[in-house]
Amino acid sequence: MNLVLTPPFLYLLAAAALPFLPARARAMVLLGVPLAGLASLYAMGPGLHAGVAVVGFELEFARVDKLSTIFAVIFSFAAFLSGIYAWHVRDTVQQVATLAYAGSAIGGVLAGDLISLFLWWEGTAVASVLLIWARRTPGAYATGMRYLIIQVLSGMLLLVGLLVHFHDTGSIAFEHLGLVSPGTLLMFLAFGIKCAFPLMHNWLQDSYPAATVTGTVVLSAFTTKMAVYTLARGYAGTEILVYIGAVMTLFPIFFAEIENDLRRVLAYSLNNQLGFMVVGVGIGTPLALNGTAAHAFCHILYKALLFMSVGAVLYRTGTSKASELGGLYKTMPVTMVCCLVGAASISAFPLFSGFVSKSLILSASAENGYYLVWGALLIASAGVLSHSGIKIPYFTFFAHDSGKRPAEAPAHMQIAMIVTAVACVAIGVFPGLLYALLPHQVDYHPYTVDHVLVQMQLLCFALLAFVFLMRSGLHPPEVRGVNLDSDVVYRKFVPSVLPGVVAAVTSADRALRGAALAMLGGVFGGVARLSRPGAALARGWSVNSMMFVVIVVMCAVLVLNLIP
Amino acid sequence: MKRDAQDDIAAPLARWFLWADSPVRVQRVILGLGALCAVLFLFDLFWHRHAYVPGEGLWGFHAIAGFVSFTAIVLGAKSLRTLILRTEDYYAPRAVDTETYPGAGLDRVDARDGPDAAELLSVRDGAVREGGGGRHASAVADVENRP
Repeated sequence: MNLVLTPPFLYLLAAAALPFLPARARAMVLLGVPLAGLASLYAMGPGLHAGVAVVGFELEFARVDKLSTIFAVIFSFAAFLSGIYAWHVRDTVQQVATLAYAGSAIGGVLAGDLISLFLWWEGTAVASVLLIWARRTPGAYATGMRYLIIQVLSGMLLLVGLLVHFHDTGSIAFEHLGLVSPGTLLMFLAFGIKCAFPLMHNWLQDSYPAATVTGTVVLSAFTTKMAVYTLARGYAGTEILVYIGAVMTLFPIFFAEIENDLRRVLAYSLNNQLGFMVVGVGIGTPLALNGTAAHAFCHILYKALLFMSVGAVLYRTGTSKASELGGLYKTMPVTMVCCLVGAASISAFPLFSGFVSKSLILSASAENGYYLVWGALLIASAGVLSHSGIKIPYFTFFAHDSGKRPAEAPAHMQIAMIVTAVACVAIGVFPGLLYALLPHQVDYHPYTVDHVLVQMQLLCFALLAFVFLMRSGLHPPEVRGVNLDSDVVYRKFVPSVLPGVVAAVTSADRALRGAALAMLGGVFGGVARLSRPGAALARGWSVNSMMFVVIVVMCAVLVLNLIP
Repeated sequence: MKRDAQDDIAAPLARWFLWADSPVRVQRVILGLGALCAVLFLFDLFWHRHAYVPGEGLWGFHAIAGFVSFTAIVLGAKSLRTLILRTEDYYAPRAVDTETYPGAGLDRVDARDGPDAAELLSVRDGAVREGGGGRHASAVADVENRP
């Protein structure tokens, strides 16, 4: 197929044309391009398309197989839904960025070689930062800078990794890589940064809440799931991922629980959901990889839904802080119901989407003997209920009445949320719809009595625990403030000690130079003194004394020669 | 409570959730949840689950796991807060935490001035009042029966 007609290039072309269109047409293009991209994807069919030879490298811009298709499909849905949600946006920068970003992410999952992957990898970084800068405040600018530096660092690691890998193997194909060499390790780290591995995660919680109302919805879909795809493609069955994933599911829960900014709560929760997917990649069996793909698919929908509902609240009230909200259900009931659907989906209640995807990963971990990891995922499931299932809807729409009575979200936001909510329920009720898209043949039945029973026991008793904690006053209240995370190292500690270190180095350097200059001055002064009229060097030397000096020098040479 | 001096308002769909404002009805919902939990717990008595993980087949394993891990997470997070909570301006001005969201990107509208203002119901004591209408709601003191 013609390169220009492949989905990523359709997005890029549309993004390039967008600034020349009137406002209403731009919003329509944002809806039309994802549909055109989907049509193009299905018109291509499985196989390699759009190969381009560049300086001896064969770049594959459209590798269509089951694994890349499911990600490209859900990315298209996400772009379409965010297009509806952002119907009111007239800011050309955000619209261009959305298209370029979605196109780059789709390009990333369709890339058949590492070089084109690198190009799209950087494309997502550059396009997405505009969604943060579009907030147009000094804080957002600084946050965007931090975000960009880390994203580009990931790109650099990928580039160095692929060069080393090419040097080792002579191949740029993006197939299964495995952690086998320095090159693959560097690429693993590059993917790990975008996938928000523990201690590489803070860019996510730092930047997503800083983006615009609609920008956060867009951001939540692409970068991290593209990274999950690349891990699934290159590192399936790499055992360390099981443990990385298990840690990822657990630690963000605690931060989400006490975070006040609800969009940051959702960013932590996103991190925790990525953990489930990474565990699936690490296990690497067909069932587990299906779980990862299915969970990414469901997760993009319900996470977008949650970001949409909190975004609608922000749009109407000017804040997304739990301490400032509460009691909004009375005048924003549609938003509230959609938020509840998203909350039920992420908490994996039966009949909602999370249930039919998360249980694949849990089953895979149990079947393959990862019992401790299974336990961690179980605890994390209760944790998901606490911060996304309860905290988000409860503290926004119920809890203590903030007295705010904002109008319901605008019609287009309601439509976007309702469509997404219906999709979450449809997948939950008819899992076959989703399973048909999965990379491997599945024979899995989520709705067995066992599955439903244990999940309901887990969730209902966790709800009971919530009631107990609220009633006994043990539940932590929502308070204003920020919580330290590992980013304090590069946001506070390094900047605070850096001036001291610089000052110490400068003063040491100055002292050293001063000492050297003083020494040099002393030598020159001495020479000058000796050269004054009548001084030793200015005097005429007699033949005797010259001969004496020559004899002394010759004796010295003789002695030196005798030394073995 | 900023709106005690007058009737509260609610959109039509919200009438299904007004129980959340009534302590009595919230209590009833909680009792319902307790009953559901009891049923689920007892279900283990006569339904033999297939255990995939050692110990998972124990009576009430998932119920206890749910309750204990939820409690542990919340209390763990609460104690974590004592270590890591800082004032909101800790990273200012290089963060958005203390910034107000720029008004140009928002559309802050009160429900009484919103497009659906005419459809708003008048609410008192967690119940819909007949002949309501948000903008023209009569001023009735309402202090007692709220949580």
